[in-house]
Amino acid sequence: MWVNNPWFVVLGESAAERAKELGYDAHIFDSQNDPAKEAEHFDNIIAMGYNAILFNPTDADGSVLNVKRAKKAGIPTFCMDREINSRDAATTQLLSDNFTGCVKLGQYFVKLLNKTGNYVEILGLVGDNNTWNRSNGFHSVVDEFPELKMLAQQSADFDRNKAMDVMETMMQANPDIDAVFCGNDAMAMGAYQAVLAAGKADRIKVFGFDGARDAVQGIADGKIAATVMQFPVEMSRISADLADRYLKGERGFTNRTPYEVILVTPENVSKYLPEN
Amino acid sequence: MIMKRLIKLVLIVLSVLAIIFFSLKIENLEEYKTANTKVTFNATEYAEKFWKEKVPSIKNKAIETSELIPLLVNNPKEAFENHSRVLGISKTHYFITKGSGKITSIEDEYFVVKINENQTVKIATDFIFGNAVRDGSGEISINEFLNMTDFNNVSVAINKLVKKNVVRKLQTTAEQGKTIDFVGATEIYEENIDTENIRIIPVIANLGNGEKN
Repeated sequence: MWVNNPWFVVLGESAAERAKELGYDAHIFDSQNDPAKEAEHFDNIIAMGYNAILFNPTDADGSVLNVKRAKKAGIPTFCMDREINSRDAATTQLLSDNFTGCVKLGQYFVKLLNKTGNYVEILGLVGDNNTWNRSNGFHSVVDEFPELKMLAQQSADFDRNKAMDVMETMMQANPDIDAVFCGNDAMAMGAYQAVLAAGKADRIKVFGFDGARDAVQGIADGKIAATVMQFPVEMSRISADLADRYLKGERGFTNRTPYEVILVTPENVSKYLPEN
Repeated sequence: MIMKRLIKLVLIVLSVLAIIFFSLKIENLEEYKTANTKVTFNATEYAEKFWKEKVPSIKNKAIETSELIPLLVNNPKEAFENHSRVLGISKTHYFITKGSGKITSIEDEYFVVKINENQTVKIATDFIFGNAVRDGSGEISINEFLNMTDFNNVSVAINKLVKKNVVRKLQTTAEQGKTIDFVGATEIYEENIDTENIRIIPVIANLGNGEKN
């Protein structure tokens, strides 16, 4: 996992909390999005003989071997949120349905822009399947409307500060941007800061993904156009429950279970504000 | 002297062997093959096979739209349990439904079809997106796929076939007053059941001359 990002803190801590409620000792290993650190953690986990791994992979391809090594050592792995490209390495994978969420977001985007305009896209980590599931879901809709033109596409690694810099550069190169689609809410908030500083908050619509508290509040305040709400607490707690069921003898899990995500817009934001 | 040369030779050989050994990375062959074998999945081919083999008989799985609507109003639990499919952990239910009626208006994104005195539905002709056909059909399992990308690309490819094989023809031949027989997929979110706006993505549609109703 990656504890620099609050979203992953919630994911990891909720999983650990649920595991403790179920009577297990739980330890959080932070790979900081670094596959090398992740491999070291798996070495330690295997050497120390943990019973199960609730896992947020750093790389869809690169993490497969780590999961296979754990499997070979008799330790089942349950992927949470991010997936690995394997049918059978993990015991199961509980994943936000990112693609479908961005299909919904894309349709809202098209309607809000009346099927015409210029936009830019800020991607997350390029080695992460979620980055591409979000981007591809969005483009599976938006690319069907030829009068919507993407002027630039660049990664900001899911990082708020990087997104602010990227957005500043994009606005300097493209003065006629109508909207920006960001692969997560941290980047959406960074992009919004850049848009605000450039005095273009009334023109450029900012779209995010995650359902982070500040982005949801931003929708209510008219700063953010829309986001897609994920449910990290529920997802991580269910993953811990699945591991518990496995350790108690249950088998036959499906290799993947998508977890539905919800489009949040000004029309329904009141339901998702923290006080509600 | 000979001894010294022999020791020198042995040291050189050992050094060369050490360099070769530490230059090599030894991996399990099966693991290497798995990690490096990237089979490119062709979603278009998969969707075309689905269309050819599964769509012609999809009608057999469909609930009559005129039955579905009152069931959603009066007993949604039964509608969801007996007639819908859900992907993973979700409150969105996908139905395959069939019916017939008269086209009462043609809008930018759909036709309004009156299926009886009290009920109308929208037959979608634009915004053909999402997973209603893939998941409503019950014919495509997520377990078949290496990752979510491949699985989702199947939905994209199926939706393109809907546009190519069904919607384009409808758009050029449909007229207000004509009758239409349809089989299609619809999605209902269980926390917002809106039976006044049932939107159906058609997978089979045949137009008549308007004599019905």
